[in-house]
This record gives sequence, structure tokens and C-alpha cells, in this order.
Amino acid sequence: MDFTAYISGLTPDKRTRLYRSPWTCLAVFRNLPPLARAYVMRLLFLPGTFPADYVDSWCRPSAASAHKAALTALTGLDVLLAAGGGGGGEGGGGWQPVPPAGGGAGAVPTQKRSWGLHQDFRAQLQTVVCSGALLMSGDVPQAAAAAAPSLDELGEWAAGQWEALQLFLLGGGTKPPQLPQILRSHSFSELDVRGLLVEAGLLGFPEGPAAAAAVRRGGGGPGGLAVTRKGFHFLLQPSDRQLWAVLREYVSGAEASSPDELASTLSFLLQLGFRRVGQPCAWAELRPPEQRMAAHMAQLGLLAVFVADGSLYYTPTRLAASLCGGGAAAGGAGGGGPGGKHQEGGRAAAAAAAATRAAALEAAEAGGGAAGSDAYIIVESNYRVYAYTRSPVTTAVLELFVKREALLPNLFVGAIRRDSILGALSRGITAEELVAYLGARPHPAVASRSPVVPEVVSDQIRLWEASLHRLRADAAVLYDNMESRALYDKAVTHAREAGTLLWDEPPKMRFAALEAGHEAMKNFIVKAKSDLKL
Amino acid sequence: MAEEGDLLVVLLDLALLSEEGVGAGGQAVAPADVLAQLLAFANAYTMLSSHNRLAVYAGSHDMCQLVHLGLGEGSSGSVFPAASLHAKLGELVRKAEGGHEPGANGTAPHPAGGGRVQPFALSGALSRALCLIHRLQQQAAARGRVRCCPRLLVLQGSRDGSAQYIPVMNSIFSAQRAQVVIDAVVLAPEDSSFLQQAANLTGGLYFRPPRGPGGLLGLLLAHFVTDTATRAQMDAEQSLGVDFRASCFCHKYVIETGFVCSVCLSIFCQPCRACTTCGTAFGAGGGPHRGGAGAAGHGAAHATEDGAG
Repeated sequence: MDFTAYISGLTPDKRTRLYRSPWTCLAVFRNLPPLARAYVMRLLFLPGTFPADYVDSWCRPSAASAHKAALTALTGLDVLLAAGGGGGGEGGGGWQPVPPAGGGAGAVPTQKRSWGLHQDFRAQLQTVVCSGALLMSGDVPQAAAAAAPSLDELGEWAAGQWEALQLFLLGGGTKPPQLPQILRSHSFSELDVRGLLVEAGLLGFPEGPAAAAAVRRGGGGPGGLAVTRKGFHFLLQPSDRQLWAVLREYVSGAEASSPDELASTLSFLLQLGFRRVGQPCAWAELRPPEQRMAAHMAQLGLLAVFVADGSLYYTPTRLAASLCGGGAAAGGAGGGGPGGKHQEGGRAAAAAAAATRAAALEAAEAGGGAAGSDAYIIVESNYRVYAYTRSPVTTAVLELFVKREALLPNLFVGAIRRDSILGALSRGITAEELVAYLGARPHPAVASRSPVVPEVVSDQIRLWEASLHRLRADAAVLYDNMESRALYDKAVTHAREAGTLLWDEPPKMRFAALEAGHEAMKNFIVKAKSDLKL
Repeated sequence: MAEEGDLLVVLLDLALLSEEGVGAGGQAVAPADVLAQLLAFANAYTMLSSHNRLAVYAGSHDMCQLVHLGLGEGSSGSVFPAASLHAKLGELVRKAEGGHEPGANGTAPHPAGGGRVQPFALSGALSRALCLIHRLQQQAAARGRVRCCPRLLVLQGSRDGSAQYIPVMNSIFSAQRAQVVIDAVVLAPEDSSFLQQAANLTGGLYFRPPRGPGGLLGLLLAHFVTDTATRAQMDAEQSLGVDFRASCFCHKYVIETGFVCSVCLSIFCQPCRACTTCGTAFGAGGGPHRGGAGAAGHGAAHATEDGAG
């Protein structure tokens, strides 16, 4: 479940409201496939509608599949709407096709499809292109800029908060991430992290829903909660997906109340992602509901707060930046790398200074792991795993499927064994996820190796998974002693169409079908018999 | 897998932004409009992905300056570059126009009357941009990252300076070797032979919009915001001829046929006793051999001619 999937899963009406915010439009735009982004760019300043083959003519025949994928993405998000013509399947909420400008050229034959960019979407993106800088309002006083935490501190804060959440999920007996002390003194309400995780289905009770409901009412300690299957999937995902999984649950409350509420909530969250990391913003400029959300985001580590000149400021962290960076941002999350230098103060106009700072930032980014930690992993072809990490989260996640052999302050040494992998597979984790996790943060010494995880190891993990799926037991019914060939053929055809047929043997006129379809099958055979007058 | 964003270096001819330059180009578009379109393009490029990196060099006939270096999220100021770019470009244009006033007093070598615009110092801008790209690529390589194809986009508003033939061609060949794609948009009344060759040799696109700078933004958005990988999936009709003519090394005239030194391939417009570049003395034949001149002609000239002297 990522951002694009979430947006395309909303109703057209809600989407139309979402597209009234430039931030939401920008986030949607950045998450499009590259070819689709190029198409939007070409269409951005094109008024009115245009025939469908106009867009089709842009792409080389060799890239037809990419072209198709781009159009699917665009129409799935209602960015590209079918207007007029017969092909208007994509329900365009309250959108009315604008009459084509220029008269003559716009006379579209009715049998031809024509497309148009979503009006609100286009208008918002045009605003960003023409006056994007103006959207980032607010000059901050020099004192606030000077008091802003350094990029290192921001990274540490973000990583710390997010790791606290993951550790809490893993049941390390720790507390969920807490509200920053400054905000607590301003009496902002705390986000119920446990409730959020339970609602998201990441944390649950092994007994059943009844017990879960009992504890949600307030009884029971955190000891009763355990990570669910979904929770394990969550832990193995890159952190931008993790973040979205949590935030998706966070906005669901707003989604339930009204589409406008959802639109403003999403817009606020997304605009945090477009601000520069470390850029201070005045807390007082936020509206009260936004302040409440900002406090929650600070608790999750997306924002950091600080006081300068007696007034409160906030600044986004790298975790917030990964909200809308698109797919390419997957590697860089809230980790403050060990090699990061301090941000130079003042306005560094000189190119050299800017480059140094960028290099420092990138070093920090390189250190930032997919799970919000600074792990470097080496997998050897003898199934041994070395992970250079200090993070208890990475260690705990690795222990889900790697047998621990040694744990040093900055190094985890383990071995991949059949029973350790089978243990993880039995929790619902897939082999692909395991291999992807091991390969996501390679140590620089092995980063140039392709593939990063030796094939013998990845193949073996997949084989272990496949061995679990060789046999499957289904309750089934054997149908035997058919009265006639005609009845047998009819019954088999029916079972095959219903998808319940498991096996058939025409010479002996018998077949087996799933028990789930037995009642329907019985009725069908009785009816068929009477039809055939048997 | 660590991914690097696209890297785009824009070389901007300040003649596009000065009243005089646009007037000389014969297009009735105010410099402010051209600037607005450029800034919108810069915003659009940044909008495309947070990993896109944009650098802008602005230059005129005698200088070239780095006015913007936005390295992804590490850039200073706002996420969108337009505001700071606007301020810096405005300052440069003012400075350039301020510099003209003493010129009117007769101190500067700038031709009076304002009819002729000095050619854009393309060679200097190209070499500085290539150095920047090289440095950034080395930084990326040091971190074990794979950088995708870097690009240069040249926006030229004045004619070619044939005196720059040798350094420009050398820069183009360096770019070709470094796999840097050079794109060009020429907003001058005549085609630019340098940039045609640059785009042709490096696999870039060359445009001289017939409507002048009016439709600049549309052109830029349609072809130059996307990275080269995406562009490879889109059509690009480029069926125009390329002007491969070279400039002679002796007088910097643009020539179609000339004399080529068979040792170092220097090009001359008239016969001479010895090659001024490598010092080879030519024999009784009267000088270097006559042959097709120009970048594409080098190989052929070399193959058909025998040794000098």
C-alpha cells in the first residue's frame, strides 16, 4: 500500500477535493512513472481537451509498454480524464470537459476518444511551476534560523522517534515514542501510538478479536499485544512505506469525517514533505487543528520543535522529506549518518560551500537505512550475515530470520539456517521480502557486487519457501457413480466454471471438487438429472 | 540501491535577458517574458523529482558565472529555485548593463550603437560546466553511487563566435567522451553551427524555435525537463541538417573547403609554408593538402592524404 495506491483507491469525489491542494497534486505528480510525468509536463499548459492519439504519437513503438503503463497510471488517478466521446469510462466526479479552445481544431469526432488533464490538478501544478517559491510562505527571524537544530540532531531525533515506534511494535517492552517535552509543556494532546498501530492491524492479540476489544477499552497491559503478520511485513519494508502505512491509518479518521477534512489533513502532511529539511517555520502560523497534527507528527519524528526568542518553531526532518520524494527516495530515511558534518551557518552563496553541505547531507543519507537505522549488511555465500549496526531495531528484525551467533556493540553476526528462515516464513513473511531486506542496505565493500545477496543464498531462501507450498490440503468431495456420460460432462463443466474442480477422470466418470461448492453442486446435479430425465 | 537524481546544467546567454540582445535578435519579446519562462522551467525541473539537481551558469561575451547550484535537497533557501535565480540573474543583467555605460563613454571595446551583440563565450561556459559535472560525478563515485546521464542545456541568444572554434570543439569532444549530453535551444536569427554539432555528436537535441522566445516554455517543458532515459522512450523528430563547417585556424573564417595539415589536422584557409600548430614544414606542393574541413571531415581527410613534405 503506497501513496499512489491510496489515492487511486479513493472515490472520484474525494480525489477531486484532494486535487485542490498544490501539495497533494505535487505529491501525486512525483509518484507517477517517469514517462507519465513527461506527458503531464507536455500537457500542462495545453488548454482544453485533445484527441487520444495525440498522446499516443509521443512514444516510440519500442516503448509501447511503458506508454501503456503511464496512461494507466494517469487515468487511474483521474489525472487524465476521458472527455466526450464514447470511451468516458473513468468517472470524473464533478468534472466538466471544457470546450476546446480555438473552434475548428476542437471539433472532435464522436467515435474518437479525447483526453483532458484534470482541471484542478492542472491549475495547481501550473501554480507551482509559475510561483512555486511563493507557496513556501514565511520568512523566519535570524535568531530562529540560528537556533535551528543541525541536520545531525534532526536525523538523530527522527531516527530515535521512529525506532522507538518500531521497538514498541516488536514488543521490546519499551514505551512508544513520546511527545517532545516542549510540546508537552504547551499541553498538546499525545498521539495514541498503540491505538494507531492496533487500528492499522500491525499490532494485535493472538487470542482473537474479543480480547483485542477488551484491551482497547483500557484493560490489559502492553504485554498482551503481539506483532501481527502485517506487522512483520511492515518491519521489513523501506521506511517511506512504513511511514505511509502509519500515516494512512492516521488520516483514516479524517477520511471518515468528511472529504474536505481529508483533503486539508493530507495537504498539511504533504506540504511538510516539500519543505527543506532543517528550514525553521513558525509554530504560531499554524491553525489550531494543524498545531494538533504537527504535535503528533513531532511525536512520530517527522518534525522537530525548538524554541527561539521565546516562541516556538518547527522544522521538518528527513523522515518528512521521504513522504513525497517518490520511489527514488526509498533509500534515504530518517537516519543521521555518522559522517555528517555540521551545517554551515549563514547564507552560503558560494558554490563550494553549498557543495560541501550537500556532500555532508548525502553522507548522512547514505548512512540512513531503509528501516530508519544505519545498518550495513554483508551476506556471504556461506550463509553468514554481518550487519554493522547499533540499532536495536535492526538487530531485532534480523533475529526474526537469522540465527544470532554474536552481538558486538556495533556488529551483528549471524547465520541463515533452514529453521530460522522457516520460522520467519511461518509468520507470513515471504522469501522475496527477506532477500530484499538483506540486499537493501549493502556494506560499501559489497555494494558493487551484483546481486548484493549471493545467488546461492537468495535461491536457497526461495527454495525453502517453495518447499512449504508443495502440498496443500483442501476439503473436497468425490463424485462417483454417475448415471450417464451426459450428466458427468455437465457436472464437470459446471464445477470447472465455478472454479471448484480439483481433479477429474473421464474414463471412470468421476471427479473431485471443493467441499465449499458441494451444496451448489448437489442442487445442480439434481436439476441436471431431472433435465436429462434420469 | 542508491540512486542519483538527474543532473542538468543550464548555460544561459545573458543576451537573452538584455534589451539590446533581444532587440538584435529581431524578436519582439520582452526580456522579462524570457526570464519568466526560464524561471518556470527551473521550477518545473525541480518539481519533477526531489532528486533533480539543477545548476545554472549565466554568461555573456566576456564572463561566465555560476548563478545557481541546487543539489537536490541540500540546496539553500526554498525548494524551488526561481526566487533566488531571479534575484541573481537580475543582478547580473543590471551589472552587465551598468558596464555598458562606461562603454558608451568610449573606454570599453564594446561596439557603439548597440546593433551588434558580442557572441556568447560558449567555450568558457562549456568547460566550466564540464568541470562541475566532472566534480559532482567524482563525488558520487566516491560514495559508490551510479549517476545517470548528466545533461547540459545551452540557451543561446547570439550568433556563434567563429574565433572560439577550437576551444568549443574541444569542449564538445570532451563532453562526448564524458558521455554528457548537450542540448541546445538557439533563439537567434541564424542557426548555430557549434551547437548543431554539439547536439549531433553527443546525442542531444537542437532546436531553433521559429516563433522565437515566445514559445520557449512549451519547448522546454516538452523536451528538456525529462532525463535522457525517459527521453529515449519518447519520439524526437530531428531531421534537420547539421552545419559541419569548420573555422580556419589562421583567420577564424568559417570555410567549406580548406587546407588540412596531414600531421595534426589543423585547418587553414590559405596555403602556408609550415603548420602553425605543429610546426611541420610543408614541401614543394605549396602547403597542406586541400580537403574537406570540419569535425566530420577529419577522418576522411586523414585517410586520403599522404604525409607532408
